Amino acid sequence: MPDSDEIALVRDALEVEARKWDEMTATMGAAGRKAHGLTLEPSSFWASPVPGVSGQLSSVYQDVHKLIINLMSDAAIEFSEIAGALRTAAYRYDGTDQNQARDLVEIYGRYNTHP
Amino acid sequence: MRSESPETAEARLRDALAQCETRVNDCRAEFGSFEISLNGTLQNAGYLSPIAAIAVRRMAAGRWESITQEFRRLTAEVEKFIDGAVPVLSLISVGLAWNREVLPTVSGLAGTAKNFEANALPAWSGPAYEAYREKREAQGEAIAATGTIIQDIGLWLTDLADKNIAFLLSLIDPLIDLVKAIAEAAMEIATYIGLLEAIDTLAAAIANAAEAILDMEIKALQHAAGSLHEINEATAILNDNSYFPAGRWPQAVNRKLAH
Repeated sequence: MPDSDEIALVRDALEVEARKWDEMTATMGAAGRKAHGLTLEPSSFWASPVPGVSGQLSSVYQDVHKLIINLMSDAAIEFSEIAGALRTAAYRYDGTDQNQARDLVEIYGRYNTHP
Repeated sequence: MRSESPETAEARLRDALAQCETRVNDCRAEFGSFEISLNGTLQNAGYLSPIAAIAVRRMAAGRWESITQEFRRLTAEVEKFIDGAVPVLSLISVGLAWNREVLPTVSGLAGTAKNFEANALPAWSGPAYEAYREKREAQGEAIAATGTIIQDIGLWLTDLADKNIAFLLSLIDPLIDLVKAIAEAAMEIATYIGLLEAIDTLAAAIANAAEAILDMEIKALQHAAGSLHEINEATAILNDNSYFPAGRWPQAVNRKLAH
């Protein structure tokens, strides 16, 4: 069983790792806000005024734009959750493998112990 | 997809617009010169043979009105393309923003996610650590996949702008041909006998230019439709369950269910 110094070392390392995900949350959030503003009017897509062409291209772009925005937003939320999970792991860490199943549920959530 | 820089694409678009505008102005100038020559010849014809001049003037008048309408319709059509291409500049600036402002940030996060921030972290062991390792890997893969989509959407926009540029540039040759044809037809106006022939030559030149421009427009629209296929291919990654299960960001933590 690890001594108290080793346990403290791992707990500190988990906090450092958690802060990394906090920073990633902020970075992804900022990138997402930037991406959110990258909208385009249908008229931007095609010089020819033939009906339908600009609209079709614009519609495809809007769909992809929305998907990317959603992914980035979900990513930021997930990163924040991971930071929280690591802090829970640090709190529960005692250097043993006891209560494995309960630890996993406490750290990552029920039914969600796989990537 | 092309990898031309957005700045180059913007410069090329502005150049294509300027060239189109210049050619339309050339056409108008040449058409105006033709009209002046036409009126001059009709005027002179009146001094030489008033009766013949009246006959030619009557024949010419009907044809000239129709030609003028066709010419105005043609130049208005090209100007519609020029005006329509101005907003395409934002296509380039948004493509630039995706690749220069969003992509580097997101790409950088993929490596950060996969790396351990603290050297001591591998000392953490047990199933919670193993689960974290896998989850961290999945997050890194999803970030990298998002970066690929961002890169593709940025390049797609630039590529689409390039297709617009190619379309505008394709209009230039028919316009140059029209300027030459008007100038050649004007040379036939010197006598009132050649005047009607010159008007017919001009009518044919305008019809040829209109047909060539319509042909270019159809081809350009086919290319635009093809680009829809390109973006669908590029974004297939969004439907890849290995990166985004059920089209969503891979969930590493489910706190709500945990408590």
